[in-house]
Amino acid sequence: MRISRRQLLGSTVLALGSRVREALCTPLWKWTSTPVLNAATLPGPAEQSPVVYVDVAKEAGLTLPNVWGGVQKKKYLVEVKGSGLAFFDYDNDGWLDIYLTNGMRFGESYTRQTAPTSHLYKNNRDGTFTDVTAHSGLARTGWATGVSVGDYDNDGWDDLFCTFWGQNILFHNNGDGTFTDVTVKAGLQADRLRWGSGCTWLDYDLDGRLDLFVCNYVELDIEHVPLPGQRPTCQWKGVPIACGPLGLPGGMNILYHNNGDGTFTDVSEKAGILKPGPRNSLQPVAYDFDNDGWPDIYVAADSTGSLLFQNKHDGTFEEIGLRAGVACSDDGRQQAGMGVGVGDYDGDGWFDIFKTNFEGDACNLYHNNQDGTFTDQAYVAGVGGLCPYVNWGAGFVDYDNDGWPDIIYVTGHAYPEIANAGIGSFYKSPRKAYRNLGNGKFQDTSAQLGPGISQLYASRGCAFGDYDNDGDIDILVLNMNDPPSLLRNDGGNRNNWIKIKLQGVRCNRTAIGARVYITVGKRTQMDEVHSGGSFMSQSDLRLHFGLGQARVVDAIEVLWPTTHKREQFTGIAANQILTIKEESGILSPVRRS
Amino acid sequence: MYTHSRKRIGLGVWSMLAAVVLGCTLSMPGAGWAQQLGNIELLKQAQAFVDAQNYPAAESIYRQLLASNPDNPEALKRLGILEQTNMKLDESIEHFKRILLKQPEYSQVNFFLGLSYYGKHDFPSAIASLQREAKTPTAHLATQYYLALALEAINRMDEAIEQLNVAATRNPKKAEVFYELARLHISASFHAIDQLRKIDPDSFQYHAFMGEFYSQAGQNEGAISEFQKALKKDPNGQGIHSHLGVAYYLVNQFDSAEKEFHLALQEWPDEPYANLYLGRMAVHDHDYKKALPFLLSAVETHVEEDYVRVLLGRCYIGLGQLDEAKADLIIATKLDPDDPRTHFLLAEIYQKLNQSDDRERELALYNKLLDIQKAKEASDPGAVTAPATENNP
Repeated sequence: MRISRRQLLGSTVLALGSRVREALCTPLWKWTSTPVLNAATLPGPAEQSPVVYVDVAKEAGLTLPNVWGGVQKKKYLVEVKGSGLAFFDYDNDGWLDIYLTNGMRFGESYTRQTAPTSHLYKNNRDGTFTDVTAHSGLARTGWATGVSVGDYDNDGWDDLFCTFWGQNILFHNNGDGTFTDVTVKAGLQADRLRWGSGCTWLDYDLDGRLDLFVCNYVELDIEHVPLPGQRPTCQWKGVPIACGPLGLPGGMNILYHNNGDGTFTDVSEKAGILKPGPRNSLQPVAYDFDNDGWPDIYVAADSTGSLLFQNKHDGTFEEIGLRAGVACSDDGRQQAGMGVGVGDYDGDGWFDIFKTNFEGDACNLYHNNQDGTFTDQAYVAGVGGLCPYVNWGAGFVDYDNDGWPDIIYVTGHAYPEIANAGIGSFYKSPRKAYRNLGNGKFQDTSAQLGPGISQLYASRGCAFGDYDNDGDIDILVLNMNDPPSLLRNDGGNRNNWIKIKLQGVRCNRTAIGARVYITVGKRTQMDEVHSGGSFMSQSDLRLHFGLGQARVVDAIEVLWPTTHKREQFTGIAANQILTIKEESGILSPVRRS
Repeated sequence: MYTHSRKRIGLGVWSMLAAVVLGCTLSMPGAGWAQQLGNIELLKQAQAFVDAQNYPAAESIYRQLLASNPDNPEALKRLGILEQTNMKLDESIEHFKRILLKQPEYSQVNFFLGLSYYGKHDFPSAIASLQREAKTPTAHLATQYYLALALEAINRMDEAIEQLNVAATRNPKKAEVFYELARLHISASFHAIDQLRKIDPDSFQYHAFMGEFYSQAGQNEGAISEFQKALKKDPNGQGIHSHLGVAYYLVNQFDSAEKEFHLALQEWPDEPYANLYLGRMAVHDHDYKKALPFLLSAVETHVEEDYVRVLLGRCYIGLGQLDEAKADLIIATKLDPDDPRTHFLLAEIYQKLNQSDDRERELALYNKLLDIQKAKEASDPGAVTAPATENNP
């Protein structure tokens, strides 16, 4: 017996009566139907958590709404994907500042005064920020998508690389609160329009200078791409939406080698980066996944296989994503990979990968098998239910400082057109949080973490960092066409913690790629300094470790890249921010309680 | 309707006239060979005038032929067609009838007579003529189409649809046929649903229907609402739970979906979609023991069998029963040779069996099929926008 679904559901498509007449004359996306579902699942009464996230963006002075394409409707894919932001300390005062990307709107004309720009906010060290964009040199108008931070010239000031749908920009930090666009001088000028997405600084050849990996999403030529509704299939559940990424040519990623003289050379081909061919790459992360002391690169890709470039130690990479089990779902389906977080969630000394995907799919939790392969443990670990939201920026964050990295990610649908379409999809949706139970499993705590987590936005990038230096991890979220959220962690510091800023000397100054092991009793945690991540965003470069009730860290071990030397420090008091300089030890600890 | 009829007749005549010329010239009765050749030439000449829309000149030739032989059936038929084209329907009917008086089955005359009656809105006569034409061995290909139009005109919808179905079989690429067929189905649906609503706008049947309607249109929230109303009217109403489960599933309300699917299985233990979705959800939760009986039941019905085999393959891999997994996945590759995922899963099996050559082969096939998919997408920009998800596999 072969029963078609049509047979099963009946064959009648059209009906009479005012309601159905309306249906016949009204495009599907304009139908009115009885709402049986709320706009989004709001948290009900929940167990009290010791940690709550509260959105303090307004009080902090972060009130400017993001500008990114149409608010209700979007014509082109670039309006859909959104962008990222950064927590970084541009003035080296020990307090995280904020960089917010911004976009434009098609069909709107701007004056110099009204044009939306990216923004730089200086941390006032009192919970508020001051917009210092005007004099910073960062006020650029355009489709600024991704951002990553690293001191490419080792002058002690972290520089900013920003991707665009357009020309990417390398902003050199002048150390006086201003930045200079050195893109052309650095040899990073593109010869054509490209859609830069996520990016990351890394020292892939361990020469002590930061190289740069840049993702390109798709080739988007708005003169030739079909418009929503122009093709019957440019739709999502019957609602016309911007076409792509499928059907559009994928982008080719770029690896730039730092020549050490302020310039870069495109080594993508020589290094094997072009070998996998075009992909819809969104976010790269560079970590030493195979513990061989050399940074590898994982790239989350949308609707194409994600990539894992294994560092071959000779300036080349081999793409092993499929064989390693991190390219697609566990049944070979290419997923809509968006954001990436990396952490050692089970404390086995090997980095695992968390990747967010589209609505109706599950996120991936690729557990590192320690043999060059990974197994998607999302379901086993309790983070793998089919998600009703489209998911973006993500990270492993020990939000309650219990010593186990938890998972937090932000959500929001790609297409605003679906908001009132009655198709069971939500444009604005809440954030998700999963608490690491320390046994390889996670518990969904989204409903317990307060209004900052449950509030509804169409979010994209997010960055994690301790902006108020109070010892717990706060979250900065980019909300499409809304002001950002600054989610202050209240209560995370009831447990003890330690935060470490590394300063490279032989290795790159930002110490990207340096690994820190923290041992308390029998338990050891680890993390690596990394640039870029989440979704086209930059998180705090300082490494943060929760210590539970421990008041002393038994041992801190730093494994520096370039030299591969280890430095160890013992008996370190909890609740302080340490700066450790390569070959010089601990500098000026700042105790906080 | 009248305007449409005139247009249809005109179009019909023009498209058919050329086709009958050759047949007519070969069957001209009652003249000597030389005269026949002369008549053929005259008919050719007349046809050339018709093609040039010089109808008076063509008519003059037909009348010249009839002057020498007043019963020349071909000349009468063509003259009738010409008159029909010029909307002189009564004259055309008279000429067609004259032919049929002596030769009741003269090729396609009943067809053109039917068209003339149709043009005059004499639908019963049109139907009678077209039905006679349908019985002739050389019935015109458009006979059922016009018969359907005539039947539709006097509200004999079921017969009209029946005739259009015949026409669709004979003219599978004729857009007009399918246009009318679709129109009639819509019309019939309108009628039935209107009646359904008039009987009781809050009946189980009305809500059940509207639920299906919204489901088909992808309006799952609306579908859920209607199915819920249907069940409220008749909690024991058959066949609703499975539909409701699918709608819940598609709006990501998985707990509600699961509950409805179980209720569907209480109604009918072999309900294919309830088994498929329950199996699918359990596989996604990596609960393979739970998934297996549902999938084994679903596969028996052959509903979406290729996908069920893939799920069974995943299930057996999860349970460590690699031979069973391989068998199901190999069937899946035969059912859907273009699905790369089956090869991905086969590669996983071969990896577990340490058969590296087989694994490499399957991975190569997986990559090849992915490349083919990408090439198809690239050749049709915007053809696919929906990302592949569990709900959109």
